[in-house]
Amino acid sequence: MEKLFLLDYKVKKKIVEISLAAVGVMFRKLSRRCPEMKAELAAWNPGRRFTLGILPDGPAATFEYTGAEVRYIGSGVKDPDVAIYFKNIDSALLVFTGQIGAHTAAIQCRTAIHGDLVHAMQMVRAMDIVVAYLMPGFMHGPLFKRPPQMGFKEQLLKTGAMLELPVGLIFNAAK
Amino acid sequence: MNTSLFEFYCPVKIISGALALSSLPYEMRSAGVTRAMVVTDAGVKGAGLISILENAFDGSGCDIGCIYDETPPDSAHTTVNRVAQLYREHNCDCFVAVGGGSCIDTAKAANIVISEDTDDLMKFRGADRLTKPTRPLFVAPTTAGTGSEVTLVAVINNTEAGVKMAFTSPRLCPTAAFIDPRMTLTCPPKITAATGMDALTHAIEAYYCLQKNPISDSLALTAIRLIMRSLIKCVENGKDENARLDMANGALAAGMAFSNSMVGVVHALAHATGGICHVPHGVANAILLPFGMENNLDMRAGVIAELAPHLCSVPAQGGDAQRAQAAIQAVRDLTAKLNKLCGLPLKLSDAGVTRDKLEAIAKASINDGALTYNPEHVTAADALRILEQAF
Repeated sequence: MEKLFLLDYKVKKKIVEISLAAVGVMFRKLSRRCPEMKAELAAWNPGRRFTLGILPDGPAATFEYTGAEVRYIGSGVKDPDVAIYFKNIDSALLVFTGQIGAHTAAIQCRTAIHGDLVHAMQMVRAMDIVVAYLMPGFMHGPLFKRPPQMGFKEQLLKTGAMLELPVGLIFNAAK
Repeated sequence: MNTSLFEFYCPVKIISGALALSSLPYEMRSAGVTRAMVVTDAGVKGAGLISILENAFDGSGCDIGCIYDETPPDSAHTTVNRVAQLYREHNCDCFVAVGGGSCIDTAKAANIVISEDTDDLMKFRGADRLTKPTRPLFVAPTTAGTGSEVTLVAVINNTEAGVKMAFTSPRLCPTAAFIDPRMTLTCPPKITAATGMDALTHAIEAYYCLQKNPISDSLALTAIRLIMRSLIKCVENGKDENARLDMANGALAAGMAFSNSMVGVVHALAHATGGICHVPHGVANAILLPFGMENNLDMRAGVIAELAPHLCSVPAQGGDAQRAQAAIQAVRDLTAKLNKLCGLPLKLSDAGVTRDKLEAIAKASINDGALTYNPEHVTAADALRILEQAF
């Protein structure tokens, strides 16, 4: 796994860009179909924008909650209300390749939050739901303090979302 | 592959001991400043502590440009803007905070307004938002609790937006902290107990929460030792200078520890309890600490057990679970003793919290960043269960 971090920056950047686009696809799907995500988003104000990105000028993606769904509005930092940035691309790779969870990245000071900390906590909880659906169950152990329990309905939703992922990635790449 | 990583940062010069505050003008000159904007509150002024500060300036070549002594217990952005305005009007070139956490945080936030030349603090909420070097800030705490004299955090109420704004940046760290036992001698017993328990909570949570590291561990254990040695003495006899110095150093060490390893569920619940029911932060921490420790026993029994020799008056026996329980019982024994000595509440219901507020507190607590660092995952239901236990 150490070899991953010796890759050329452009390769790492591409991995992170694809990961961010995948987060966007999954966020949209779950915000429309997943009861747990809907309950989390109930406290969000429509129009809230958030960004995930890599400092200082690495890949970034911005999302917006419309009131009905979370939409990927494109790569880059687009006037977010709250943003979570990885301090470097290697830290982002640790998370996007499932080696550490988002909370571990925060604990290890690998991330910086810009904006309202309450909004950031809400964003992190929503991201945890996305990660639970994006990552295979056998990888959940180190990613969560308390790995999510996924029953038949959740697994069905996860399968559907994963099948839609390639098309969604192509769609998001155009933004 | 080992993926662990930690950061530790504390650039604050510490001057601790007899007549420490007399060194303030020397430290100001070392930092290239000579005219202080003093931020304090009416209680500090009424206790005569500002005269100690004024005496320190005699014959020093430095002077006090302005004294603001109206800082409220929960500082608001309007207070911060007023301090910044006075700073400009009186041509000051540094800040001196004399007081508890509210005075220190007000000075830190006013420093943002001045250094960033802004009138909108909201823009700088969150982590690492400051773009310019801040003015020198000197701090003389008058309570032994918050540890704000060595932290990179400030929390300010925005009364218009109805939110507590948190600012974290290495640039917010004070230039120097003056731990002078004269400054805490007048602190009343109940406030001494509450702020002391705040410091103990910082140390204990810093020791068992997820961002712990070898350096914060050593500071946390030092803090626990000093606090356990002297908190009761200070409450029994506030004029005991040695005990007061122990407590001030303990709070400082705990502040350095938690500023780098952070705190957990106890603080998340205490912040929400304070926000909704206006329970003083130290009181809420004192009540919730044993329950927060119990909440983490499944994940952290071994680490909490390591605290037993430092918390218990007699050596704890048995395995991790038994020794961790002994550590928790030692905290309960301490708060029970403080309750007898000065009336420190032992239950949330004794501190003015009503049962109908518990759910709102639980919901607010899960949006507190401190939960990120708590070993056990905490949902609103988990938070409500802890609150009901402490009620």
